[in-house]
Amino acid sequence: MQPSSVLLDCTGIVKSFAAVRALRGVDFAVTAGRVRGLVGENGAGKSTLTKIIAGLYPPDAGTIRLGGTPVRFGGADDALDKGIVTVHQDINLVQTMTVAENLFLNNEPTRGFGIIRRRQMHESAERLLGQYEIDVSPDAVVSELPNDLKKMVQIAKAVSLQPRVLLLDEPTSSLTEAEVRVALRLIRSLAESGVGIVLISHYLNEIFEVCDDLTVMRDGQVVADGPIAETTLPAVVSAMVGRDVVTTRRDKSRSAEDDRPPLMTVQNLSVAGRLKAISFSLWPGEVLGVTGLAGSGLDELARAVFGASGSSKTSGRVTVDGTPIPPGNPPASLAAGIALLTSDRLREGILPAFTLVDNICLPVLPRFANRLGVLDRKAMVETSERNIIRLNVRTPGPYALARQLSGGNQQKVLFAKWLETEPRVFVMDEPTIGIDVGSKAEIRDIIDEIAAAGVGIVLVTTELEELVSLCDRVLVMFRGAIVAELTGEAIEREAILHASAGGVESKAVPA
Amino acid sequence: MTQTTSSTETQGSDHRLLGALKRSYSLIQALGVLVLLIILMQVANERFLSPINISNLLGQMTVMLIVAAGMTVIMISGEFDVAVGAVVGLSAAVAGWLLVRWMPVATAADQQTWVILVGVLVPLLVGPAIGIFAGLVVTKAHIPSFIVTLGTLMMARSLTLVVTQGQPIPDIPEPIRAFGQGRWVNLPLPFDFSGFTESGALADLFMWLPIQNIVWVAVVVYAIGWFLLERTTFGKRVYAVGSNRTVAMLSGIRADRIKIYCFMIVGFTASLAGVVSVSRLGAVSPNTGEGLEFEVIAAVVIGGTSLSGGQGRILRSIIGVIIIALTRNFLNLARIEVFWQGFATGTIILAAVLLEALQRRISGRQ
Repeated sequence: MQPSSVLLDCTGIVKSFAAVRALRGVDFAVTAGRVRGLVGENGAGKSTLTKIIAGLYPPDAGTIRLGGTPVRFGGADDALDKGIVTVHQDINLVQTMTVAENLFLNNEPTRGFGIIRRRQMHESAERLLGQYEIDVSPDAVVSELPNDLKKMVQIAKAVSLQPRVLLLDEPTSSLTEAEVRVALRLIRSLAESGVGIVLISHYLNEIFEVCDDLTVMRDGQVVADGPIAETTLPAVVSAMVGRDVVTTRRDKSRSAEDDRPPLMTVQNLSVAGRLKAISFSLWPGEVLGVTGLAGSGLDELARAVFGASGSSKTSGRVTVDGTPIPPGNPPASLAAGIALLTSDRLREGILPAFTLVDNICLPVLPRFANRLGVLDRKAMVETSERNIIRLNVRTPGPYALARQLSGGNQQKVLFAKWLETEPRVFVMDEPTIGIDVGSKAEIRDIIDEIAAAGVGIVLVTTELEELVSLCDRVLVMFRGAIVAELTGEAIEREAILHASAGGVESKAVPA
Repeated sequence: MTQTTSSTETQGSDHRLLGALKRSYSLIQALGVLVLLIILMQVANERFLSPINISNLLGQMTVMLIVAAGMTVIMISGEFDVAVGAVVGLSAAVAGWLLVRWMPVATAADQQTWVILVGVLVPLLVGPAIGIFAGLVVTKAHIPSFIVTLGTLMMARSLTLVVTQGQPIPDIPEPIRAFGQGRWVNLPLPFDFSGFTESGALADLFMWLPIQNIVWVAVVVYAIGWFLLERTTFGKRVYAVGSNRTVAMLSGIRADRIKIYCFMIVGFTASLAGVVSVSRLGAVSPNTGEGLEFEVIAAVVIGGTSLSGGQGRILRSIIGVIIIALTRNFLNLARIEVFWQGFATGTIILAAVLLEALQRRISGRQ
């Protein structure tokens, strides 16, 4: 095989989901022995493209050539047979099986009749793990391994399938620094052995460290493509962001620097293995953005501030108006005036089979009950209707079931529910995730209004747009710690991306 | 995926020992309950540990043992089969019909062998056939296996009545009864000191345990089942599909096909148990196997197989079966009214589920 031969060549790939055009004519090539980085903001189309290459989706239009011949994949196992192996972002191992069993799952060495050569399997596993410096016994049960080792085992498994093309989707997001080094070395050595590698990563410094070529995607299109030596990190960031985005900044009249005491203080809040000594203050009427990459601890931060993470693993101090909030006690947090809007609307937020009235009034039921516990239905409906009008919820009526509503309107119902508790601090985890553009704008207006009324808002989000247009201050997280605090004019896309992708600017561009 | 440590150090050896102890917690617990029961039984009736009683007990639990082997396989794959009792009944009925009603009374001796062969082998296809059907509905229509097999349960029960016409079928041919009721091999068990001190003969040091022939059938079933699950690619696929279907499919495993095979396996063991029960009793009753399914599921869970799939060891189900059978035997010995039997079994099922929850917490798994 010549070192520069093109293994996989996609031309004009188009893919739509319902009305959304996820890919609009994408050209993408993977060359043997080279690592191609694939970067872009969330929703740019990276994962759709990789899923098409991995055989999970068929393309609507366009051709995929493998070694020069056009192919159509019949499914994930078909692509696998043809040598295209994917390492998915979430850890894809059977938790109850051992490392060796996972490494050779469905690929076990046998003596015929499906009888497994156990010793050979054990030895091969040991060799494979040793080759990639993975310090784990082949007999260890996967569920008992720390996350970083699980990820390394997952990569080793992919490699053992002897791929021609290896797709790595955010392979380092759950790894520690030391593990990242090993993983990157492994990627380089695989490329040198002739494998064509696609590396999807938000960590731009890693991209610049190991990639030979780079493809930048935005809005379902390739906006930059070429050898990585011919570009720079700032150029890549501006290609990802695009220049045509108009951002309306909100009025920054509410300043965090006035003399009032903070509404909430968080001191050295840590959750074992997830959050490292988080400290910040929040003033009344302030919108404090918290952002970072997936896996940097955003979810954990939202939960820990609210007091919903397990108290045994949590340390640190959260106070509201100077009163400490006990960890791991959501009712106490609610009573102290903290509300948490979770990011997983369907599983942890809305009750789909409940009416809007029951959804909205759930946390404040005692308010509607008389001494015998009988509820005042009329007052509940009035409360719900007031919220429906105020938040512009599009619904047939207060007795509609929550599942009949669109995602955006469900989200507004959740806002209504928490606003009824009259929170002083409102923690929102990805409040606009998975909802349509119109509802997004409305929800941003609602957030603005709540802040104007003096509520302190912790806005956990990965949407740059939201951070830039809504926040007075932005904290950037990286691997469980706050690495940057941006205020006022410093809150801009490039700065946020830089900080999220690996800390300080000087470190981000390797020589 | 909820590990919170991010250390790359290898875990210490004491940690590993603790891990091994936690992993085998369900085994320790089951063995503990078993020992406790045996002591209780021996105290309640000193003849309990006599060779003849043990031999009888083993014979009585053989049907449940065989079905529990198949049930372990289907439960590891993440599904259930509540039709097993009905399939035992239907297979027994088909065997009885072929052996007694289909075979003319005056069949010539040279043809009898042939008919007996048909009468024993054809019923073994009943369970796999029902298994394919249930497996297809579960995997292709995405309906929970509990509901689907509840349907096949009622169908099989009804077919049993059709085949038997609601009447018992007596007079199963002699060769089959001879096998099912025979004890051709005596197994030496060490240390019956009473016999030794009396005679001083070395042979009396052992307790000679006559083993009913049908018990060997169960032994073979468990040997094959163990080999299949622990030593073959099929076994690994069953565990993988039950533990995490998505991961299994992304590894190229055809999860649906594996589950259908598992439904056929549990069906086969139920049919085999049906034929065994015919040979043991020498007759077929139209309500053979009634209520067996829940006793078997309870036994498998007590043996440590997870209700949510992916975890379990087939040999441990034997312990579960023994516990269920001994409980029933205990009620008899303690002269408790037979009406309480269902109550006792129900209690055991609930206790088993609660114990599973406890096991999960102790072994720290999700």
